[in-house]
Amino acid sequence: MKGSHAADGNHLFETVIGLEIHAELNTKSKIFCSCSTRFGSRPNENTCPVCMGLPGTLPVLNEEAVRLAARAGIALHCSVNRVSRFDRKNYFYPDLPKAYQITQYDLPLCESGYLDIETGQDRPNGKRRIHRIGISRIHLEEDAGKLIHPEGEPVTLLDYNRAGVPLIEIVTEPDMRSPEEAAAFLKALKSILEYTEVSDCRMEQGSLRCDVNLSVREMGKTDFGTKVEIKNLNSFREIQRALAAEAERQREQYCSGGPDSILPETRRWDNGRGRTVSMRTKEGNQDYRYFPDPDLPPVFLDRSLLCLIRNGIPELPEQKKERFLREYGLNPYEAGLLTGEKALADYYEEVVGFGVDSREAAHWILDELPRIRKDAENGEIPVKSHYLADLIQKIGEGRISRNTGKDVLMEMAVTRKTPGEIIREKGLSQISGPAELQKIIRDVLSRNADAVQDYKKGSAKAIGFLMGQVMKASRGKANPNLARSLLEELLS
Amino acid sequence: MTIDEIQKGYRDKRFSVREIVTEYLERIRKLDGTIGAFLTVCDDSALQKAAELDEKRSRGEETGPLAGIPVAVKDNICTRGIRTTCASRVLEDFIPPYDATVVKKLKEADAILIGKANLDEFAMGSSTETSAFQTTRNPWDITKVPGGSSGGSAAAVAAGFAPLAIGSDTGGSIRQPSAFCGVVGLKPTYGSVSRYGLVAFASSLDQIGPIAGNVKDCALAFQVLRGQDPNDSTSMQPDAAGMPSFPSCLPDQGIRGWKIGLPRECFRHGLHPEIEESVRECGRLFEKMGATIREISLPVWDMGMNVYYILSSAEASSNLARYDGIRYGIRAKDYNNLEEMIVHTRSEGFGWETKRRILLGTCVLSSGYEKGYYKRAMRLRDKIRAAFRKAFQEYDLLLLPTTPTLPFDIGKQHSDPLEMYLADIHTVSMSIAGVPALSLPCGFSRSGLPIGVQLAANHFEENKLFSAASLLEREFGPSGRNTPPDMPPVGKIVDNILTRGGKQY
Amino acid sequence: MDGKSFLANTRDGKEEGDIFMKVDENTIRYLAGLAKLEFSGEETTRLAEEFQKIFDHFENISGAYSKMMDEKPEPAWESVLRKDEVKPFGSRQELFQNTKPMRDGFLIVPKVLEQEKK
Repeated sequence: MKGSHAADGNHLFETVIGLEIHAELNTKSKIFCSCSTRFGSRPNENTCPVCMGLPGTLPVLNEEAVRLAARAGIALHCSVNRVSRFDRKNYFYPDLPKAYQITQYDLPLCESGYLDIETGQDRPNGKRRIHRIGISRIHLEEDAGKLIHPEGEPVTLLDYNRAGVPLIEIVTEPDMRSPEEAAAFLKALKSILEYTEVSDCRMEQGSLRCDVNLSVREMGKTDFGTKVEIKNLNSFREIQRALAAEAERQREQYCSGGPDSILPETRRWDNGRGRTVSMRTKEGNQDYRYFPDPDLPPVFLDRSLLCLIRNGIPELPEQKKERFLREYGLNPYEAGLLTGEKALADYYEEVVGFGVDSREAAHWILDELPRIRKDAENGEIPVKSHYLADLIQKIGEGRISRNTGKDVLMEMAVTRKTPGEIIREKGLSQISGPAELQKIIRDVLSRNADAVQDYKKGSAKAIGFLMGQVMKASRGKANPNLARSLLEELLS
Repeated sequence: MTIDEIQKGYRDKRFSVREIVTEYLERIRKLDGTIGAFLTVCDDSALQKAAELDEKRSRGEETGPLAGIPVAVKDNICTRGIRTTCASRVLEDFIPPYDATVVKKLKEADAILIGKANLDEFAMGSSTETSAFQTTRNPWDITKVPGGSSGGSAAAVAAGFAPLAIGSDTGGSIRQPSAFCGVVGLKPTYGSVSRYGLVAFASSLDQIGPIAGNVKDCALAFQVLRGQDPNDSTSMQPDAAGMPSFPSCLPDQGIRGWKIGLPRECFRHGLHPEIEESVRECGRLFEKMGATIREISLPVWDMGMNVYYILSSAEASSNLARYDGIRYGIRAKDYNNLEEMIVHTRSEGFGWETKRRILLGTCVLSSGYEKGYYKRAMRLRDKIRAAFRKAFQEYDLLLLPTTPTLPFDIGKQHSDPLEMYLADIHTVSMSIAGVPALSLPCGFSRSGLPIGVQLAANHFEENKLFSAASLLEREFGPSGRNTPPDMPPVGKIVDNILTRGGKQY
Repeated sequence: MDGKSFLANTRDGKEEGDIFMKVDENTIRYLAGLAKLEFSGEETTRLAEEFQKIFDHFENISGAYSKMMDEKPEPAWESVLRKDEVKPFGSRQELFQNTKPMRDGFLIVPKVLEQEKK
């Protein structure tokens, strides 16, 4: 308790945060028509009479969208409604081809779930605290198109490729009490949506978007303060910074002008200036004139279909973490990091699957891989799992040294060659042949008679010096264990 | 001419498809200047399709059930490459890139699209006078309206411009103009015909249906139009058992032993006495055929109008929001920013009645009003449906007037919305209940204007409507034979061909 | 006391959400804003009068109102769903044949200002 508020710099106040997360579903086609959902197509390439809202067209619901939304609901411990319905939300905006959005209003697909988050888990041996964040609802809806505002021109360009891409909106209870908690929740949620293959959650492409409702109240009060909505948050870092800044702004406002001086409004995060800026006030709530969409019959999910969806859910992060602890002898910190991202966990299991020692694999993936991965496109892992496995095995067998191994890994990321090829081409193999090593050592001994003398006099440092000379003479390729035992043998 | 007569002529090689189409086009050219049924006449594409069909036939290939039959399609049904305006300025230059499912089905059945028929703007009206482009006149008396909103479609059939037309019915828009024009019109069960490509007015009520000169043609066309469509989630496939092949179920089945209900609420104030007499006469005829006629009470009847106007306007306000000038349709010339562009486009593009209904619909959905009006109307809709369900547990059919009045004078419909909306008073309840209803001619008023009688049946029981209607038709004679007095008889079409060409096929 | 307000008084409070709505020119202007329509002063007055009349007529559904709960739809049929398959629409040219100003595949509108949103 104390910790987070002390961090906020003011423990007289409590920050209350609720999130509305939009995630694009991982379907091939749009929610109500058969256009592709592919990102990055030419403008208006993925459009048809239906998603352009042409007169006379009608929506037909994509079954995969329903399946994925229900899957998200189950993974987030929601109850999935046997009957749900689509409504029209009416408003004019150029990105909305029909001038209404098809969404779910009073009968959403999923309701009342939760997600447990751990804070403090980022620190090794950090004390883990578990918070349960309530999820009030998950509903299906269609995305809108995209507006582009060319600099210095009096026009806006419209691209409807995104119009009709299926979305789920996940609405949480106002259960978070700090920006860190909000970020932790979002990370955990992202991980679940990725695990369940509900969404690819690419924040940079807008397939995961987050709006935040934030208010402050005096410590101990039970009524909520005036809620401010913050839009346009595109990364975890931005979210944490924006929320911290907004909480600070509200506390200052509260202290100087009292609770009523905080206006119910929508604000936007201005990354450059490091603060939130007012977009519009919420006076006179928008009149969206919701009503059931007469073009779409209700969605019925019977028990057997729900069962099917439930059985289709893969192992979730928490379950995987427990299994990693059990099966691979990792510590909770390592298991947590590995399972925090599905792609990484899968990669780890592939590497281990090639017969590599599980702790060794964890070391390479957690300590060495991130360095080369941060430059890769889309956060892809740039080294094939069986190459890494091969590399770790070669090190284990003493074919190359650990340090050389790091260089080989680097090289693999760039050239995509096998470790064998790189070692061969660069002549990086360790010298493990006793004859060859003996020759080098004899050379070194003859050139360093002083040190040999010191050793014989009992100087412990001398052997270290001589080892160094051997490694140098072999240009680092000498197998150190073998070299040491040969050296000791020759000296005695 | 009936579909049968034309197709028999093809079979007997008395004339070619090209000749028939040419003659119909000629008739339209000569007479539609007066009637104003068409917004677009598809001369070239119709003649081309006719030539293709003749060729197909000469090769001895199989042709579809509507082979060589000219069809007029209401101009709120999308036709690929052919302007589809909804009789609105806002869509005056709109060319759909796709065919409505019914248009596809008509083409697959080898029907020939001869033109796009006039309507009330976005199908909102009962006289076809709210069309932004032209007035359509009733072929039986050109000083009278043809009814609406499918006024162009009904007038086209009545004037002999096509043996078949396609309309749409939201609260009576097929039945009322069919009654006014002395033709047969069916509003099918909601969900039995795909709405894909029908420009939406009120999605939960809109239904496409056929208008023809006689019951059999109407049934044949319905057979072609109906069926579940993967592009329309609200379309349904009824049990196969409930849907016999219509033309073959006519009319021998008879209606002996049927129970027919006569809703008392229809026969109150405001019903034209000659219409009342005609409807009661139909009851007496049914009794003679062995059916039992009972007066019944449907207390929900009185709410129908209000429920209809609340729900249809609410849905319309949302359905018509997309006409903002951004993606298609007209765009206002005069604006300083986006907001003005949208507001000017909509204010210039829509006619008064359309704007009034958009505003009414916006109102009943807006916060503060939604609970009292929209939500309440939705619950009452359930009540109305339940009342019909109960009625059809006991009765095979309902028998009632289609309209409260005879066709009224052009320009005389009251601008008072309430009086205007009364034109639908006997048709809206079936729309709300989603049940099928058919209007067919049952004689003429003393002033020589057609009178329509309406039959309604339970969901997916169109076959009952066709059976009973064809029995009544035997008594009154098929409307297709009756050419309006001031027009050359439709039979002339064949005479013209034979005298002109003289060539035998 | 005229008949209407008498009714209003006697029924008021008995039924939740009862409807005796007043419509004035402000209402019309508010609705026109939502519907993105523009009316002259004269038209606004006319609409206010007409709407009041229509709403008076709507009152007959008030009496018929019963306290039915908001019912969830009955599972009368199976959901209508389509397979997740991509089928591109054939002709770009046809699809955008009604769209007038376009540039490099984009549609064009007058500049949208951020605060206009929603």
